[in-house]
Amino acid sequence: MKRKKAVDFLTVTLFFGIVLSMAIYFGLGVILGDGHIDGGTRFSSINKIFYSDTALEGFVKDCDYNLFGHIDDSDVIIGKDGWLFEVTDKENGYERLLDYIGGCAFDDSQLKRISGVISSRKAQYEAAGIEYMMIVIPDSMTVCSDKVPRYLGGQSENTRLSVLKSYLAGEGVEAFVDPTQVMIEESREMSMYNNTENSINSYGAYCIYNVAVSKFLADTGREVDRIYFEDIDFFTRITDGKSIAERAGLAGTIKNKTVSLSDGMLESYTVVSNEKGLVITEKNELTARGRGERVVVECPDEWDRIQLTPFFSNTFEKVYYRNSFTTGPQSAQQYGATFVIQLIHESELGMLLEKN
Amino acid sequence: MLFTAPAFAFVFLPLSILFMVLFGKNRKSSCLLIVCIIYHVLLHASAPVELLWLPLLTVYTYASERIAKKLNKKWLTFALCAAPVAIIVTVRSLLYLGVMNGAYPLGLTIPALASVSYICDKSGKGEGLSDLMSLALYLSFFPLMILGPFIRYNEFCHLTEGDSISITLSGVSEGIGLYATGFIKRIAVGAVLVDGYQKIFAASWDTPSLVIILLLLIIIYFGVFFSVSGYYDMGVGIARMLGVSVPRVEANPFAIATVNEYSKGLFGSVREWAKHYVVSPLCRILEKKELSGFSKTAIYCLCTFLVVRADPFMIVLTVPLVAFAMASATLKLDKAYRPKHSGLRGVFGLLTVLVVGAFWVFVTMGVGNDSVLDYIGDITAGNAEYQTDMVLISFSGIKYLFVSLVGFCTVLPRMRFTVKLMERLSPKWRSAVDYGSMVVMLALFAFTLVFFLPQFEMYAEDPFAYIII
Repeated sequence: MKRKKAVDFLTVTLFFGIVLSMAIYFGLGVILGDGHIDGGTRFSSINKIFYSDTALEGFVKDCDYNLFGHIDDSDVIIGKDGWLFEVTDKENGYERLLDYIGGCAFDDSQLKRISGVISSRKAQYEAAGIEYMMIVIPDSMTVCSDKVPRYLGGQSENTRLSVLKSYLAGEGVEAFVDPTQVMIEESREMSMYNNTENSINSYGAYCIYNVAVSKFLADTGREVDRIYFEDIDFFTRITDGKSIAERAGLAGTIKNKTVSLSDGMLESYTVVSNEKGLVITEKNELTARGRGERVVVECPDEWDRIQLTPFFSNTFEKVYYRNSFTTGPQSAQQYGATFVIQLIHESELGMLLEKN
Repeated sequence: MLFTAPAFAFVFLPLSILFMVLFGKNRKSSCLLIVCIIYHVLLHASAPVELLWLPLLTVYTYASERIAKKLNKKWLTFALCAAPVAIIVTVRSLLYLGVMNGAYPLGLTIPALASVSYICDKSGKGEGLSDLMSLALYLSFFPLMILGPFIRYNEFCHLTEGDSISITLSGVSEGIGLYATGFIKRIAVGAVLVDGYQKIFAASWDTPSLVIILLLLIIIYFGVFFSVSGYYDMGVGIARMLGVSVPRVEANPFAIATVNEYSKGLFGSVREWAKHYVVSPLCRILEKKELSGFSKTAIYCLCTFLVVRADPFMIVLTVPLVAFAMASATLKLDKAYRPKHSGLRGVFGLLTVLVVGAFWVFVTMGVGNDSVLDYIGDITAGNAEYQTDMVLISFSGIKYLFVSLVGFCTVLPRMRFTVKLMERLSPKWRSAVDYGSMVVMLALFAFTLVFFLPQFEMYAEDPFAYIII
């Protein structure tokens, strides 16, 4: 009987301990706050303060992720080893997951149209005496498919990019470059993407640079002071999670493994102009190789430009970085460019259907 | 301000118990009535017009009983009883059908059913206390007002008259146990499962595969079960904390094999009400000793479903469930006939999960048969892989495993074999189990408060996602 009483006493004490602690914590919020949120009474404000408490919200998100491996956002896929992927790219209206499983590949007429757009651009630049290539920056899900959760299975062979690549290869359109395979092979030792954002890091940028320069050299037979992997000092540091983690409210919980360059590489060129949509760099010391090579790099976004600048600017005499699709052969000619590299994200391939 | 609202759990509940302890020694009923009135004021603070319902109902019920007793006409008693029920059925139907705008106010249904009990019991048999305060307390007793369990007036009088209201350590402790268990059931299990159901249903709308359909049926079955049974536990728990020993509702989802058992376990109050105030009067009118099993099942099912959702489509949905209930009655599968487990009961149990789950799926689809037909018409059977992937993205296996385990833990102490096992244990071990279960229950309650509750703000205002009581 005594034991029963002791259990009862403990139950009552602990229960009221819990609820009164909460009452004090949230009650203080009401007392210290204005107490009238949205015209409610002071009493009902406790509900509002409770449900809008940021500390509690953060705890819920942390617990949900760490304990249950779950994020309350159906647009985020939790991958392996702290990787996050997006289901859709809302900006470009691209269904990333659907494409990953081969659910939205281009049809024949679309492939034909894209092939026409690329061939036409190539022909226009060639007529102006300029080398042109279009390089795809693959999505992180494409290159790092080993980090995609197992239940999604492997990547389909019927994705937009792989179907387009095969089609263009069959059509003999050489201006289109897909570095996916090279990136997959080269990413075994170090990641090329940010694990909490669908964006390349410095190493990924180097790989794209390497593919572009290799193709340029092979196609033209010219010489440049290209940068080799051994010349670069990459280092990895842990930073707060990037855009996908931020959107999920877990930037502090899911850390980003950021691969960066040492500062030394940034000192070999000078930014001579930095206007909106146009950045121009010049190499500080010119060697015989690469002298007179002026390159236009059309970047899809500012982040890609920042990552690519150290490589291209340390290789070519003068580099013009412009927003994607803003340059035509005439303006490239005005710059005196010998080479135009147009970068396009895998998620933006659909945009080629809208181009003439 | 419902039982799962932070303001209720953190402030109103402790204060009302403190008030009862401090001032309720000599005027227990009066103090309880004051607490109930404060609760009503706070519940309807945002819509003061709704506050008029209970005082008006109380006056109407009191006057009706007097008139019915004085005139002693059966038809008049029937009309007076039917009026409040007719009002709520009309209001609900008009709201569901979109003829009227707005939300159905909380705490109208059970007091209306209670009003019928008072008029019938008092005018017929003269049972229970006759004062207005007892009636006011009966109609406004908030722990049972949202969902029940429904208690007849004479039973309520037994529970509240004289020294029956007593706040003791063991009573409060028991009440806390029930409230905490109900809270966990409602929020950590029921709300999570229903939320999961909504997400999976939305993700697999176009291409419901067989596996996903089965998953949805099971999730909604248990989701609704834990939500409703959690509310009963909370209601009974609060009543006991306030010193009223309301009998608890025993419902074990794993022991249910027939629709009859399901409706008894989950909506037993409505059945009880229908038995006394629909079936019995009908027997008297038809001059029969008892109605047929089919008629009784149909009436019980209809009353239950009209409480769940009052629109004509519910009557259509009732038909297959009544047929299923009749099939199990014909095979004598109810526990009353077959106390021991049998293979057939097990098979029927699984079928019941699927049939009742399907019923809830249709209830969740909104008003009218158009939405069901629209849904069936929209099934394209395309993009199956994508939809399965989307389901898997929103589905957290570990979370559902945890929730299932928590759900099982809340039901475990009331399972027959656990009760038997506890009886066999030595006092020392029994005490250790008591301590252990208390610690686990309070730990889960605290975790529910800080982890699950902040995710379900809507349940501070609405008791359920689809059921409107």
